[in-house]
Amino acid sequence: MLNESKQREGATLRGNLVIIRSILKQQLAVLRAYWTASLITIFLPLIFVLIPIMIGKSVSPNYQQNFQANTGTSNAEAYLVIGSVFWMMMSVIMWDFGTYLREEQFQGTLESVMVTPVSRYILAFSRGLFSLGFGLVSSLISIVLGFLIFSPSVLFSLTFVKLIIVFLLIIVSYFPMIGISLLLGTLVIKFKDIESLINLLQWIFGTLMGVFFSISALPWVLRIIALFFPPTWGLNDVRAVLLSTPPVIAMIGFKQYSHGLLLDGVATILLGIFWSLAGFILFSKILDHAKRGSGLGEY
Amino acid sequence: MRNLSKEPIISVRNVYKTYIGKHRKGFFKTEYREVHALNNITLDVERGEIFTLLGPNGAGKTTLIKILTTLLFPSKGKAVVAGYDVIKEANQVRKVINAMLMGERSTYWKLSGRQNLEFFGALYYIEPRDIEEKIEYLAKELKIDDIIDRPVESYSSGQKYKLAFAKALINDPEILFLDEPTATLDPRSANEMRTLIKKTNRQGTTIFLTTHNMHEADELSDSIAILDLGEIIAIDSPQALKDQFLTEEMIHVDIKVDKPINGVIPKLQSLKEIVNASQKITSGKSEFPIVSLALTSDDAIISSLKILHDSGIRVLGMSTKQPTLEDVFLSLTGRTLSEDTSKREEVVSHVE
Repeated sequence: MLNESKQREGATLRGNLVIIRSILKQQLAVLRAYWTASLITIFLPLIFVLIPIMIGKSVSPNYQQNFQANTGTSNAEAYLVIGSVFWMMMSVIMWDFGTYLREEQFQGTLESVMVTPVSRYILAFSRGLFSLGFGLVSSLISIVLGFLIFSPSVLFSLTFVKLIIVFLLIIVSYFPMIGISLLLGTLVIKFKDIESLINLLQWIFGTLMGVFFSISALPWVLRIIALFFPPTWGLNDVRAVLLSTPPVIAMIGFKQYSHGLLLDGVATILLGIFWSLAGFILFSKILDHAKRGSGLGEY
Repeated sequence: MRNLSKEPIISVRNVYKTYIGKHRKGFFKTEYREVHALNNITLDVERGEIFTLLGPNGAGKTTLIKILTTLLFPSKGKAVVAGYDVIKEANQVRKVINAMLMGERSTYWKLSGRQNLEFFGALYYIEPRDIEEKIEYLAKELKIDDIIDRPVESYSSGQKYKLAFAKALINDPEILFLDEPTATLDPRSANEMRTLIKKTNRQGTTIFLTTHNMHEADELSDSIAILDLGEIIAIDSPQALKDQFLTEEMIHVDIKVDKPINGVIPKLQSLKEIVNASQKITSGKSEFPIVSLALTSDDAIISSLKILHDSGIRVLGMSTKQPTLEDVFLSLTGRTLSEDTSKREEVVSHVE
């Protein structure tokens, strides 16, 4: 045998941590090679914000009062900046695994990875972790820029406690997104080219999350659907922390509960469990389905 | 449970693979067509040998290699690799094998060779310290140590293949699967690759490779299975195959001519002593076409030369030759290995 290397027995926790580190390193190297692609995640949310603000200012001189009545804050600019940046971050995580599978199919490396003994779920988790890190950094730059341009007062009112709560809310929202990411990965395996579907779903999700308005403005059917989508909770809770808007539980009529944020957090965790399980089960089934057909490498 | 006491190291029993393709018929109807990629494949590979699947494009070679590397499920039948079932114990199989399936496309071109090997080494749960040692060793062995820290996109095609080969050896696999390992390489790089394959095999690795290149199969293989239209039509050692299908009475002659002889082939084949007549045209401008004849009697040589002469073809040279695997394939199928059979017969299963 050629200079025998020592393969660790099975997938221990340490073994998986080494794999996660390796995938993060590999992704970082790829990002360095294509660094200009990251500009879109920083600047696009700010362009998205600029359009409704300008329309609002043009249409109604007292748009802030209307906004206060509908959302609980008169700071429309900050409300939209948070919505747009959070939307971009969740989109990055949500599409990450599907995009990854598609890229690997095109490059020809998917089968090289799939022939190794690494767990497909560790792969998905590592990719998700990378996109979370990437999303956090680009969102931080984007939101600081957004606040500086549109609403500097929010930036200066930030406290350490608020930042910690926001960070926790993002983390709680992240896990269900991995499940959704796996679900969308199954679409890539099944239908291959789904770019138009990605664009459509991105806007549907953005609408359901209430990126540009309060979800209480949605028709009741859409509001119920929106509640099954975890980022709806995450986004509106981040706004609740930074802008003192009502948490989701209050927005849907349960105003009497004083620990709204906590209840929202529990709801997000429960949704996280549901979406993660759904994602893992469906992804596993679709992998087997692909193997029964012509395989994963075909594009 | 792994069963090591029972050889062979790869055992395939009655494996079938059927692909179902969808074809739109109008706006609302979809026609489902079945393509039988593999039909009742049974074979054994002994530990330590180089086993080759030889066949034209579209014969089903890649489908079989993908089943054995756990990337596809067979539609029917059983395959056991290194004592593990490829469906039920897929992850155990993956731990003891490695593969080079997409040639130069199986690595990340934006990363360096070293970053690629570190990444794939980690996916095999190899300790980082051991990976570094292994990279140094492989880079030196494969003579890519001077380029290992450069981005792969700057490598030549031969260097990319070598890196893909290094990647396939990163976990010291018991079995190495190589799908057309020299398909797009220039002759020099292909030769280097074959030397590496032989060296790896001498060091104890069982090698399962696919090729449509008969010289490669002849040079490398301990055993060859000839695959055609999804079926194994012959399986044995290269010499035994040649002995089995080519009788001592048969004479093989190559005639160098001044121009292509397409219209003359049927005339040659009409001679009863000629078992087969084919023409090889190489891409080099200075090369002349070669007419290959398989004859049962030397009387036919004179008759053949007369046919060529009467057709205005000038003979530039002539030699007898040893039978090759191409002749074996020809005698079994009536086709050459270079013919593409990927447009396989499709059976309409149902319409929805």
